[in-house]
Amino acid sequence: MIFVILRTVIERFLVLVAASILIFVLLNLLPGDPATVMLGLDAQPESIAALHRQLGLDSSLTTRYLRWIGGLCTGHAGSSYIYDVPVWQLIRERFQSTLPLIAFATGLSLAIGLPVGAMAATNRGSILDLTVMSTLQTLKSIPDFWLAMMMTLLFSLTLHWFPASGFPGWKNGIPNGLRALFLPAVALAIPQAAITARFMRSSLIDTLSQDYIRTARAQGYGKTAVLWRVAMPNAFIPILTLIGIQIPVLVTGAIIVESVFNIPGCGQLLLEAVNQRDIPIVQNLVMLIVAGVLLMNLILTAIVGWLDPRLAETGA
Amino acid sequence: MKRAVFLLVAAGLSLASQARAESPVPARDTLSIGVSIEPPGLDPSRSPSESIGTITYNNIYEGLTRLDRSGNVAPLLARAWTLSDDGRLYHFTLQENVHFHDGTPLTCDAVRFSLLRAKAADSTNPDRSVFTNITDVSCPDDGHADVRLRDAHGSFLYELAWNDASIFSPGSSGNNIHHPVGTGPFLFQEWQRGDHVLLARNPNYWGKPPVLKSVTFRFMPDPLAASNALLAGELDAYPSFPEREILGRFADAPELRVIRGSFPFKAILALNNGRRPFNDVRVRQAIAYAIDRKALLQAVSDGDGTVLQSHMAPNDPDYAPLPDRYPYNPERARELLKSAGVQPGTQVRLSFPPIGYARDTSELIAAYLEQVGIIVTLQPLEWPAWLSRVFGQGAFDMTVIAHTEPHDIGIYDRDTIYFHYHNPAFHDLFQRYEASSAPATRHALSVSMQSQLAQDEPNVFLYSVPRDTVMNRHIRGLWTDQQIAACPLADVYWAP
Amino acid sequence: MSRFHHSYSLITGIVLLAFCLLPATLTEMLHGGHAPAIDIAHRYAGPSLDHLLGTDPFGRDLANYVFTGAFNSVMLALMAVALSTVGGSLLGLLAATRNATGSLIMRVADLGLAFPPILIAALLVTALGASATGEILAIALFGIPGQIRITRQAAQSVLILDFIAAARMSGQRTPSIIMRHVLPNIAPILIVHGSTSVALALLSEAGLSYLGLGAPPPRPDLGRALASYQIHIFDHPFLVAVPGVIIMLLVLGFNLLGDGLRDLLERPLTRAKVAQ
Repeated sequence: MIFVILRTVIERFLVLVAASILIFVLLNLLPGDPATVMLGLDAQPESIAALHRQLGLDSSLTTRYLRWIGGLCTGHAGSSYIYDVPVWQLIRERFQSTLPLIAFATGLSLAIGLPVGAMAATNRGSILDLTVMSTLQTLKSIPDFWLAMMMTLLFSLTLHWFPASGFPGWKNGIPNGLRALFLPAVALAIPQAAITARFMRSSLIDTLSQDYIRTARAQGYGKTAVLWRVAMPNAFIPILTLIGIQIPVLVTGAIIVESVFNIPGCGQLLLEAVNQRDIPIVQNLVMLIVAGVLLMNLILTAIVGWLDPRLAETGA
Repeated sequence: MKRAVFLLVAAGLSLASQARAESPVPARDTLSIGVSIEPPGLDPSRSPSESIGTITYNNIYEGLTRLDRSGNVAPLLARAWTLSDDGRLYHFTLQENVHFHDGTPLTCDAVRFSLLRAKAADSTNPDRSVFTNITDVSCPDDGHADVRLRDAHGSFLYELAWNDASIFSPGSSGNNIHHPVGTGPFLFQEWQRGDHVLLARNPNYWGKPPVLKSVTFRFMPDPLAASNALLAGELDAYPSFPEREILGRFADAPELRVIRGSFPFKAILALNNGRRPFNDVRVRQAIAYAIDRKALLQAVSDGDGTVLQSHMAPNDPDYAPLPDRYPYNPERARELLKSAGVQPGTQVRLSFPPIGYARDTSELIAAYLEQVGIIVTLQPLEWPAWLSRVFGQGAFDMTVIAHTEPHDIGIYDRDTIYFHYHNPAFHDLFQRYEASSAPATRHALSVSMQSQLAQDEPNVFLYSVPRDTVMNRHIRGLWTDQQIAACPLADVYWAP
Repeated sequence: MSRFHHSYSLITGIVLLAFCLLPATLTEMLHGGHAPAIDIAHRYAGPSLDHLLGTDPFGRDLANYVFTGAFNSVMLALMAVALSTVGGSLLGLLAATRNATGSLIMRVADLGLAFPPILIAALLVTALGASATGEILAIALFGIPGQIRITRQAAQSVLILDFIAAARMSGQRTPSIIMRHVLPNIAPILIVHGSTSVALALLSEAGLSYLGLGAPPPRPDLGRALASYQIHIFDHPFLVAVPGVIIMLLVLGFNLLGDGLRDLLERPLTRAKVAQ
């Protein structure tokens, strides 16, 4: 068991190293020089050379890579080229909107998806099932950014229930922050909720057809008791795996939705940084996202394995 | 009878006005201003970004001279100056009792420090080439500064008014990018990245104290979001509103005014004069004939603006309203192309930066050129790629870009200019213009230069659009014409 | 009841796709994929006999533009999915049959799944320049890790069946076993996954183009159109509604098609699994 855990951890670590090399090489292949971006149209060659020296861009690729990784290991991620502010400070500021947004959206999608999926599964084949599943299928097919626009048109610009865009930060009170994140979270959550519901439905149907359910029923447990005590917890396990798979998708969705709602989050920061060749921000932010996703997957796999040892074998 | 009523009404009015005078509504003393781009830092000596000037110019930083709202040079930190007969030695008399926000007094040392720092070998000043003409700055005493130039240069005082020629405090200049320190009427308070920069009134300002107590610059890149914020009263003003197509939303808002200001905005289709087929003047003229520039203006700005005939915006004092040499005429374009030996089906590439007017204009131009047999491949570039490939290396066929610097016709005389235009006749005109100081001669030479460009058509001159400021109707004193990227707030106040 | 439900999915899916793709193909054939003509004098025209859906900010016929855009999107999505299906399936089969290589492939797939797909697209488009090819590559790259996982899982579930062991005993080699036994058995899963992948690819395509990472103009594109029409949400909401609805119908069509196919094709396999 310890060997398995160790192997998994080492493997994930190697994936992380591969990610760091990949992102570093990709970023350095991009056309466009950070110094020209910063100095603009009338920059003199000497000024550009001076800036190269200041930013450490005059040393070799290997040196720069090792310097970056060395810094990461000792906790110094360096400073943004453009803002000249420590990278962690910028990322921390931006995570204040992105993390709550993703958490809010995940919560919403589970809160909607699980009950709806369970309802559809227990009423399998009924008109209710048919209606719910068709609605979900339709919702899943809406581009999230378009859904965001349409919701803004209705709820912000016509009904004035929610702000149309922007994020005031948490300093102006938590309710204001939540109000600003509500529409983006819904836009992000609805397609996810549809996926969750479908998954929950098939998982529950699958579970309900298992032998042990029939055994439990045969032993005289009531339909509701079996559903809640036995079937639901078992059906929920694959949902955990689904969450793991959906996290990178949510991150991508968050980037797009942040752009529609003009929320100063990590997605905006990432796209801006790519556009301005602010290499320290891009490479560290990407590493953070990849590490976060791998860690979440590891934790979820561990939970699934703990809940159901059979699945752990195939999951790893 | 009628007269009595009139008197009564008058009496009532005067009573009412008295009542108002006795209990005045406290005037608002804060302002929240929307800007479309967040600056990369607040140090103009490190980056040319216009967003820095909007926040800091004459609010935080001040230079020896300044530009007033009509674009004229006026004294600021230099109270007065004299110029030696050979035009190479400026003797400046500094204002007295000026202190930087960090408490240090303004002396000649700060002037020498700032100017020499800008010209130093490791300087990252975006206009370093201006400062390399300075050979020396000497300090006869704290209150005077002598600036010596290598070559006489008529525009020197104008260039000293630019934001990157501001005078910085030697002690704190290294940290200006995060915490700007100048001598201006406003103090930097805070910068919440991604959201706003807050400035507060400088209680120790050397000049006339500003009316406003605090000013917030909020970053609102999305025009739709900005329009919502203005309509909801969350923003008081938005100079240089980024999207003309939604200005109509403000028409019904009683508290808002839209002011149409001027702007040295010159959208051009730049052609690589160093490459075939654009090295042939007939081809360049043919392209000009092939494009319906009035329709372009209609599409980007609903027709509000000016179709350009040369590289000069209508708000420039030297602007000459030249006749339209290249009215839309695809037939003439085809003839010219044929005579220049350009086969129908010739492929060219049109690169454009990621900005609305450039994208729309490029797409339309591609469609017009296809009509005369030129097949255009559109190539969207991000700013870094555009800057390095098009502007830096001059490696492109065509590009759509707006030049927004005032008085920049001199770029057509630069050896290194990206569109590779060289004409001895133009060079001669420009040299005579630079050397002369009589306003009438200068104007006449400028008109000749404009007309020379219209004839050579190194680039297709497209259009100039006005600059729109959306603001609360009670605001007074805001700059609505753009001379340089700036939003000076010292004289801004709320009228009742 | 369930059977009805699924054949209903299939039929609805086909009807929706036909509704969008027939006019799209017709437009494509009539205009050869060219963007409709620009006519600045008639910008923002309302629906009429000349322009069934009105005109856009350049005075182009909206119906023509939107349907050409739909055709382009579907073509692009199909190509991306073809790439990711072939690539992902090959790697997945390799992963299922070779232990060491398999584990390496799975770790690469992990990396692919952990990388935010949009970032890959942004970097790719920045490096290669905005083009349909770059977009196809980016979307195919998103799809490959999932395709690897699904193929490997399906192949493994077939490989443990008794008749495979029998085939091995009779001296058949791995490539031949894969060709004769594994592929025919997992083909339904791949087809169904392919159909839903097209739906997903269409969504990705719209998102990338919306962010400006898609193919450049003048090639009509729904995501790009939405990005530039967005500011007209007040004065011309119709402009924003139409492209969005078309994308939604296409995605829904492919999703329903996938559902229907799953029911039609996967049943024998499920039965085989149950039997096993």
